[in-house]
Amino acid sequence: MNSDDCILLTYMHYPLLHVLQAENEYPLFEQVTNEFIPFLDQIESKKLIGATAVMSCVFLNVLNDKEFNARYAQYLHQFSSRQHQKALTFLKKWDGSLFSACKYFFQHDMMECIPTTVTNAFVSILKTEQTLNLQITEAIRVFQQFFEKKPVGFFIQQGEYTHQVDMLLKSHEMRYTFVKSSTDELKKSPAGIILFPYPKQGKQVEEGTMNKASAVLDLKAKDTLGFQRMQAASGTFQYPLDYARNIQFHQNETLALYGATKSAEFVSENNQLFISTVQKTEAMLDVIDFKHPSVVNAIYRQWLLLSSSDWLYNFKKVRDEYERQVKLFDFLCHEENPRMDSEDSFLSGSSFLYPAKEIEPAALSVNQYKGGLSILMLAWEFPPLVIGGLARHVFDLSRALAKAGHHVSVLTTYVEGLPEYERLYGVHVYRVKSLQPHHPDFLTWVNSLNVAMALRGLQLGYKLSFDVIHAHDWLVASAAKCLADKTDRPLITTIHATEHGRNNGIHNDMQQKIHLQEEELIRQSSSIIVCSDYMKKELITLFHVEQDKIAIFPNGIDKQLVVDAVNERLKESLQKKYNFRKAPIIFSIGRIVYEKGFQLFIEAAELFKKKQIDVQFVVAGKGPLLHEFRTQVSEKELDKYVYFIGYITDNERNQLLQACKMVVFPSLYEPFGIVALEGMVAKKPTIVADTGGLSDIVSHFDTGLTFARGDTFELINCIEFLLKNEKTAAKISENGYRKATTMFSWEKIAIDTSKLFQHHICQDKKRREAKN
Amino acid sequence: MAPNLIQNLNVCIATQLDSSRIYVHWSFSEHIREMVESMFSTRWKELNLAMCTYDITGLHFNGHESNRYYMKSLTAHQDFMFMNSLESERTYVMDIGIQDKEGSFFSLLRSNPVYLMKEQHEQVNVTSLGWMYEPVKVHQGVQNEFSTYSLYSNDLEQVKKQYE
Repeated sequence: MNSDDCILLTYMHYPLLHVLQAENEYPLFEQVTNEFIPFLDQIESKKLIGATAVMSCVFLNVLNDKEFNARYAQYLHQFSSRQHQKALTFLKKWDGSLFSACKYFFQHDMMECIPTTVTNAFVSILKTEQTLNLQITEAIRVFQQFFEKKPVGFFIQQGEYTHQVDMLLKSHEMRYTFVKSSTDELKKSPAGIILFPYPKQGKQVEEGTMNKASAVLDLKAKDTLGFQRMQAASGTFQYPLDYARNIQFHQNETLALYGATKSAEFVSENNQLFISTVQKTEAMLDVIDFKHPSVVNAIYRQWLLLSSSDWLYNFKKVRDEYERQVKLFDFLCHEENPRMDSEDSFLSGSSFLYPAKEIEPAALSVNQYKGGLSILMLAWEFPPLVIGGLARHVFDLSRALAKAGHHVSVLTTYVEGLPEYERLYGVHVYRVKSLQPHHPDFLTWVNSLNVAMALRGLQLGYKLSFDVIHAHDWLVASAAKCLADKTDRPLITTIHATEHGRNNGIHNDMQQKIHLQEEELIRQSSSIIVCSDYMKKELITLFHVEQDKIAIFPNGIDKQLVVDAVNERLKESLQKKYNFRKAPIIFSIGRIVYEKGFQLFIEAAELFKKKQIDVQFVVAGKGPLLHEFRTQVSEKELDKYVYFIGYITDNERNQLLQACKMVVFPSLYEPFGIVALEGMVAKKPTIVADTGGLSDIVSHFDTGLTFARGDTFELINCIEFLLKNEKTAAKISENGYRKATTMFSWEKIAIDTSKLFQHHICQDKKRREAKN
Repeated sequence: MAPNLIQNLNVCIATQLDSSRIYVHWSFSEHIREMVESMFSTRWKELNLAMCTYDITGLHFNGHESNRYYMKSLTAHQDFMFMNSLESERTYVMDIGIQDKEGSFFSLLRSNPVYLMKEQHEQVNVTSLGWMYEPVKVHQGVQNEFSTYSLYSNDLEQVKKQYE
């Protein structure tokens, strides 16, 4: 044998199941006597030079454990053979500690020691960074703690190597590792880690538990050398780094080594429970909130135990024990179970694992909220996704509640380009990706969104506990009900509008289905919030809701968000973009649906044109009738009188509110009419249809002008009046501004809403206590 | 003993076994099962559960369009599957969901994507050839009519009638 060409790598394995099952240790003692002590003896006598030993945390603990060493000494005393006596002498020489010998040899460069994953996990089946860290980072830390010297190499069982492992080893300044490869060539990973090919066919020695993976990495020589032969022959080997120094690396083939998943090949129907459990428990660690930091170590240790590949060697035989350990993991994770003195606890029998108290939680994300209420809101739209008034309402209410000291989480729809989570004005916003966001069937699309919201909400529930679930409209009904059931907390729903109201009745199957969903949501809610007396009456009529179940809280208005300083540049660019004329602008904004009444503008514009009164209607917003309205405007040659400009930003809206002569909201159905408040806050004379919530906001000739719903002639009269009577228009604007800014404050609405929440939380608590 | 949190997780996890096989397992919580039962007005046991395997090589998968997809029926109690004979050097993702009588699929859980690497230790070609395949459109695109609170019609005359 040419010693220049060889690296001796021996894998010191201690099967974890010994810890759990307290089996007879005799076979293990025999292995130590016949293999490990002779190995150390040859290191000590320098008959074996340059050997590399892989030592797991479990094995280091065994070697360092006083009780283990004492039991081993006691065992040796029973025998008088030369081998046993030699082992006893060796043990005594090292003060009864096998680890002391290893540490001395390593510190004095008599042998190389490197760590491996904490519990011999198969790294390629691990799915999260956290668990990979736990298996690798902890192993390096514990190794360094034992040896008081940092390792330079790391051994991965089965030679599995992934990009994540590469980056992790690099971050720990590891210099080399061993990978599965069919070629002899030494390579470097993209992160610069030297990769020794392992194992080469015929070089791995299949032995008992002790040295399961003992191998000689014979990189060039043709000889096969096993551990037993090595004992007899001994010899000189090269340390990996010494060997690597004189080798030319083949840089270009490094990527090909990624993805080697040899361990996964073992997975079969008989043992798939193991892999699914490892991965599910990883997912659990990812979502769980460590409400009881005292159990964090225990949970991590239990997971390390569950992820050990040792279980796989005879899974059928140990399956019952494995399932017991899974239950213990579950038990420890359960939020209501901080008890550490359980007889079932794995802690009592785990002293071998490693010093548990010193585990540094890799990603301890305790997210406990103290003070105020914890409110989970569900709303399908949330800024910057603004289709109607609901988004604005939820945005303003949520941040007013957050400002009042409550912890507010909002679950809403994902919008491309926006973060899935962000904190906006103190509100925790979670944007949820539906699995089928473009489903052609409307109700299926809604269901898909609800499944995604429910899944996210359940996941959040592991980290946060909610006091109340607050749903906004039927679109989030299924998810809201699911989350209220799961958390056993009251469900409060704000009904912004009804399907009946939106369509002036129920006319088809789809509307009927939505109507039924609204009815069911209302039935299952502890309380209903509406924004106007009009809506309360509508719910009572349509759904026969008890009066006491409905609370009226109007929408509020934050004048800071509406009254922006005039931005001349933006004003000019809007002018240029839409080619507005100098004529007075009559501005409106809303979804382009029939119920908003914008069709009245087209009729009014025709009449103004005939009368040669020069005005221009500017309507912002998008919706299903946008194309139809634009076509009509074009066909009637009203392009210079009516502009349907589509979606605009808040900033553009503010500039148009400043630039216009008046604002008009001609809705046929309007539960509240937050846009009217925006016009009033902008100090513009506001004309509204005398319908729904708009009638509560605007008093005719005081804070604005009103006209009969759907009556174009009355609308024209109002517009003409304001154009001709500037002084009255200014007075109306001033009155409107005063009313909007004093009577519709979000601070007050937040206080009222939280009082309602508090009341139902108390009621619910009593109900739960009575139930128990 | 505490309730079984692990079995109540809502997860679907896929792992490559070799160059042509994927192992996928999943679980649904009781609350999600109940929600789905209510959505479909059908008991869980009677739902037509299915697994849809999408070949998403070279695509930014949006839940609808894939190069190819395979549908496989599942039993109500099934919680894992071995996918065999898959083409290597392709990326797959698996959805667990419900297939209706018309064949339309409703996704409930989605796995992580899995790239099936060939076993040969060759240089991995990172350039995808996905663009060469005509995407199979499983579903159509965004519908403007329901990006809002209800299913609105864009037929003005039809809507007018509701107000007459």
